[in-house]
Amino acid sequence: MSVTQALLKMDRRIIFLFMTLAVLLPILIPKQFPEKATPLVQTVFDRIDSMPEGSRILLPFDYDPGSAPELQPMATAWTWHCAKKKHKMYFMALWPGGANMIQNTVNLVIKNDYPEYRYGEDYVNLGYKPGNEGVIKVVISNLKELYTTDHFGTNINEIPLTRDLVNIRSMDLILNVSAGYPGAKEWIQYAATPMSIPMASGNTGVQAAGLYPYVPGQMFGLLGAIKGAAEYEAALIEKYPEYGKKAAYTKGMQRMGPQLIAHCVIMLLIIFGNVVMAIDRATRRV
Amino acid sequence: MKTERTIWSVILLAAVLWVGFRAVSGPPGTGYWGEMGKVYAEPKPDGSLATVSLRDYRSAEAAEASAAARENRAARPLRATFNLPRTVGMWMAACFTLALLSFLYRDNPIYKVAESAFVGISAAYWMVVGIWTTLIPNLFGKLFPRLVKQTILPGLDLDAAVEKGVPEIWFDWLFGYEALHGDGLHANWLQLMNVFYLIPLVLGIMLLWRLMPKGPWISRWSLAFVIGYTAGVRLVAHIESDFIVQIASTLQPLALYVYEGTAFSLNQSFYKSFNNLVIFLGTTSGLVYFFFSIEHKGAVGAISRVGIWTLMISFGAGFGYTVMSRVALLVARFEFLTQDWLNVVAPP
Repeated sequence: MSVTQALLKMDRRIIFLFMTLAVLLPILIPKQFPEKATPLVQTVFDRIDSMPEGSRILLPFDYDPGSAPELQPMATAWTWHCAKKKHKMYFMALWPGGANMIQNTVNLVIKNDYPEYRYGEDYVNLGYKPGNEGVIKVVISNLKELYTTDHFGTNINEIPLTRDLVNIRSMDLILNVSAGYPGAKEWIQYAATPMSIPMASGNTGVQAAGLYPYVPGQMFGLLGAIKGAAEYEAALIEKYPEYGKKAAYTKGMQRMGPQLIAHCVIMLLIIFGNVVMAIDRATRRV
Repeated sequence: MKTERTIWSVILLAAVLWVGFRAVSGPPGTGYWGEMGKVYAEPKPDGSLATVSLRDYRSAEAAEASAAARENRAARPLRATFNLPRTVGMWMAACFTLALLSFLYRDNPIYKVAESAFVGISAAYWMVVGIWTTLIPNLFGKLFPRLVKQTILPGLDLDAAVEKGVPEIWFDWLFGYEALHGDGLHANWLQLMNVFYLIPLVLGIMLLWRLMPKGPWISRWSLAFVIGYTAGVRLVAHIESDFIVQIASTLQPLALYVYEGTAFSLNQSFYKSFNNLVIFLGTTSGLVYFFFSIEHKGAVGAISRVGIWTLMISFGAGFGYTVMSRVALLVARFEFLTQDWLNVVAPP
């Protein structure tokens, strides 16, 4: 058997081993690479940063622990940025696990860095409601039709932020963190487009390619996968250097190191495989 | 077998080398082996218990040893203690992760156990979520609000049930329960029933009829309702959001003149015009590729080939993003194994 034929029949587990090393080594020897926000991400950053203090921002966290590695860095960055700019945050979830992701984010960001931020006055967790896009259809006309209490069972009429809130049309912005269905597409279809509410979303990589057609007409910005999260973190650090001091806040940038090496390995393997196949074909012709 | 031996040897050698390196290079007195796989937790003012990562715990402990930190001790004393249940949870998570990853090497019984546990737990989770967030509050809570509140859901808002329904009226009118029992706590549990919710109850039972040996066709009625409703709800949104607005987004001016202030920007003008041109050509050529009423020859064939290339590029972009997604998940799992569980990564 020639060398090329042996390579073509190589055990696929050797490729798995390469991938394991490509991902594992940058974790064992941490190395962060510089990031720069692309226009899609920078637009979102600038919009949040330039809004007047006290703007109402709806943050639907439509994801669960299964997609948290990609989406939690975005959720963390957006929550920190909104709190920094003293915006009013309305959290809600269309995924059952979303309510807990909201609480984790609040515990990580607001309770640690913004202890002066008061629940009910500066932010509220409306929790999870079943019904997928049906929930959006209801809350764009009458929020209290569906939400009688917040995530903790407090009557919504007793919470200052929601007492006079009729529906989500009065929101200045929707920042959706989405892992699939229901998520960004449904928020675009049932809230952002028909009600002309400005919207941006942070998505998993699987979704991102399918959401680009909505930018900039129906969404003004998009954070695609972990790369989008890392770029947003870079934009935050550039303006607010204190954001980069906590390791828990820069998970996106930390995870781009293994990403870079893994992608390089994949590309090299694709090129290598094609070259070997071409040599094998040429050899056989001879 | 030779390949397998090679793979295992490389993995084990790398692991031994790294653990050995960490054992000798770690800060003195950290007790690396003793701390492996331990979880610390700290009580919060609201009564909850927050997990403290070993890294945070160690850095706080080291800080406390310093004179400067002792002064701040009163402000934030370190109260984290070893937490056995969370430690067991972390070990289970680590073992299940390794069991699932073992499939990459070969299908094996450990993988099967982990897979079965995952499927079983997921099914149970979704069933519990469905019962407690949909069936009980949205169906039984509407049909028998008083009974549900008295038995399984004390937090149910009866005022909302009374305000929204027609409910008590029909029953009082029919049976005079209000006159017999009053409106207080002794009122009959049927009194607040919202009869309209009998319709989804019946439709739900009909849907489950599919499991019965006779008359599975009954489920088709419910299914027809679900499909009809879903199509109706989605059609309007799709036509507006994914059709009309998307057409408008595609038909953008092909020659744009961009001014930055009062100065004409050639770069921006070219970039935006080119962008609009690519969107227009990509969309139209893609549509031509799917237009089968004309044979794809000559000019039509050339345009459809551009359409194929456009589609291939978009599939490539989608694939690249998907790879990024999966690698991100793998990175997070390895972070968990190396940082939280094994503690083999040096603090930044």
